[in-house]
Amino acid sequence: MKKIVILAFSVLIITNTAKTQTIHQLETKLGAGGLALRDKSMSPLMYSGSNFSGAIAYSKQTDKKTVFFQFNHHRAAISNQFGNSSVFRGFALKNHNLYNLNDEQGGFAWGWSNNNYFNYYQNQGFGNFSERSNYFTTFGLAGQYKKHFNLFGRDFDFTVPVDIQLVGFYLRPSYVSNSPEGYLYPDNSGFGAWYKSIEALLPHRAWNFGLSPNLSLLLKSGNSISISYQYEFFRINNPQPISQSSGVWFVSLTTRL
Amino acid sequence: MKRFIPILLIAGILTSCEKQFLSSDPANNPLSNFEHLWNEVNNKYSYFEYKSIDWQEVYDTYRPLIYDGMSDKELFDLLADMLFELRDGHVNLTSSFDRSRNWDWFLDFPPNFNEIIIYRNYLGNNYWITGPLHNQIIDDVLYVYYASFANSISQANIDELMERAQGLKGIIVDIRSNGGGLSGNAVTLASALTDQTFDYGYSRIKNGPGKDDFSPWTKLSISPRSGKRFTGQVILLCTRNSYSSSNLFAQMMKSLPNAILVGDQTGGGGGIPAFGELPNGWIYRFSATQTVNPQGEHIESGVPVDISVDLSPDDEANGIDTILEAALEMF
Repeated sequence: MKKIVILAFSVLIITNTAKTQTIHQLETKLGAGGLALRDKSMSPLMYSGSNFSGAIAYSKQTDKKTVFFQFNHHRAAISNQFGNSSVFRGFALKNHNLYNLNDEQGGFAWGWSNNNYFNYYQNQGFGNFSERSNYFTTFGLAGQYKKHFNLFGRDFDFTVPVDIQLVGFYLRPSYVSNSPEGYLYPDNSGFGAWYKSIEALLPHRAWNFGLSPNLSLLLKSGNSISISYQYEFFRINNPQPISQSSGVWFVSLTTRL
Repeated sequence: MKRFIPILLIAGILTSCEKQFLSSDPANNPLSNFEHLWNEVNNKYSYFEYKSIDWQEVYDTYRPLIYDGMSDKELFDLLADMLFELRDGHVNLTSSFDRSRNWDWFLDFPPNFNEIIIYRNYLGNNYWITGPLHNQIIDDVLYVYYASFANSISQANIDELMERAQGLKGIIVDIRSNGGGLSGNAVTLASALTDQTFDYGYSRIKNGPGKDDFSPWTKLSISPRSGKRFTGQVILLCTRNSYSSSNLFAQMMKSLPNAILVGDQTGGGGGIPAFGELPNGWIYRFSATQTVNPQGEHIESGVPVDISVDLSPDDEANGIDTILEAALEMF
């Protein structure tokens, strides 16, 4: 009986310990930066301009694993060197899963990531077929460098999450129309059109890279205020290449739940 | 702290350098602009076969005329001449100083329309302006003048128009000076003139650079609107100046059992134009789709009328619209 009590007590302690070491955080971000885009189905010219973004992120951190989700909305006013303009909107859901991240001492952690992007833009100089959009669901490697330090009596965290997407699928406009290829076939059902439209994301066809250096001032309440720079690049190769490069400076408030 | 330096450097390099990670814009010279335009048309234009156009021959004709140092206006004129070979009203090149066009589809034919006579002698001074639909009751027939499909019709406009048409002998829709606009407006109007779904043709779009790279044909249909409708006699007045969306609307009416087309055949414009940009920023457009009637015949060159009537110069001199009078006599 003693053994059972001791075992039960041990389990309780371990469970409680695990619970006390689970950290839930919610981060609200607002930012501005730049965006550059070249979609050769629309124009051979680069469109670039100001990019404004809002994001909300959630992270759950245990001793062994950190799970991170972020939902982003971008809105950019971009134009080419001759002044023709385009309105850009983007939505992104990013997920990082990092293992063995030592929260106290920092260091490198590795894991995997999943990105889901939807980008939409409309060329203001065009009449018909002025819209373009693309969608990604991708999986790849994720990593994060973290360093905790003290400066002027304040605690700071410096982190650099990074991800590179290697496999997945994407939808892109068909040759002339914004509708993906499968949707041009009248006999296709909804799912059939979608299935015929998706293309495999493989390194020689398309790729996506993200990097986001982040400096956080840790508050005594457990919350933090951060400044970060989120850079994203993606490219779809043939037949009509699309390249997109964006960077946003974010100011954020992280609340411990 | 030393460990941060490379990372801070990377962040610094990335900052505000979004443009640096994209290749630079293509060369902007007469030859690069010519080649870009010729290739885009070659890959995406939809009517080479229908019009028996040898685009390679066009290249061979115009390429030797390109030379370094030609002015923007010289280049524009040359590219405009090249595009003129497509014989297509949906083809334009737009620069800051001019817009090229081929308007032979109506300039080579009699106008068959005089707007002053319509406003002074038929619409009068108490006609209704129901959105873009200027309308008047003439001899128990609702006459509707629609000047441009670019001006959108609301469902409320249609409700008012249908209400006004109730109990009348019929409706005359006049699109003789309507050069097109939004095809959605054509669908909106047509859906009020039927009580059952009808097919009016098929369309397909380029889906690759090959001459035969098209999507499958997609059926084009009109379904009756849910609100008020008019299912009596409809007469559509059209001329060579009825182009693009007007051409499509004429095809809808051609397929509608209770409609008759009167006047001259439409100007055509069966392909929806796709837009693009040259390395020098000029914007071009050209047809990238095809539309055929239910019998499989292209409507790129126009939709024929059921009853051909020309505007008589004598009538016009006397303020009489021969075509509208002919339509009124049919009720």
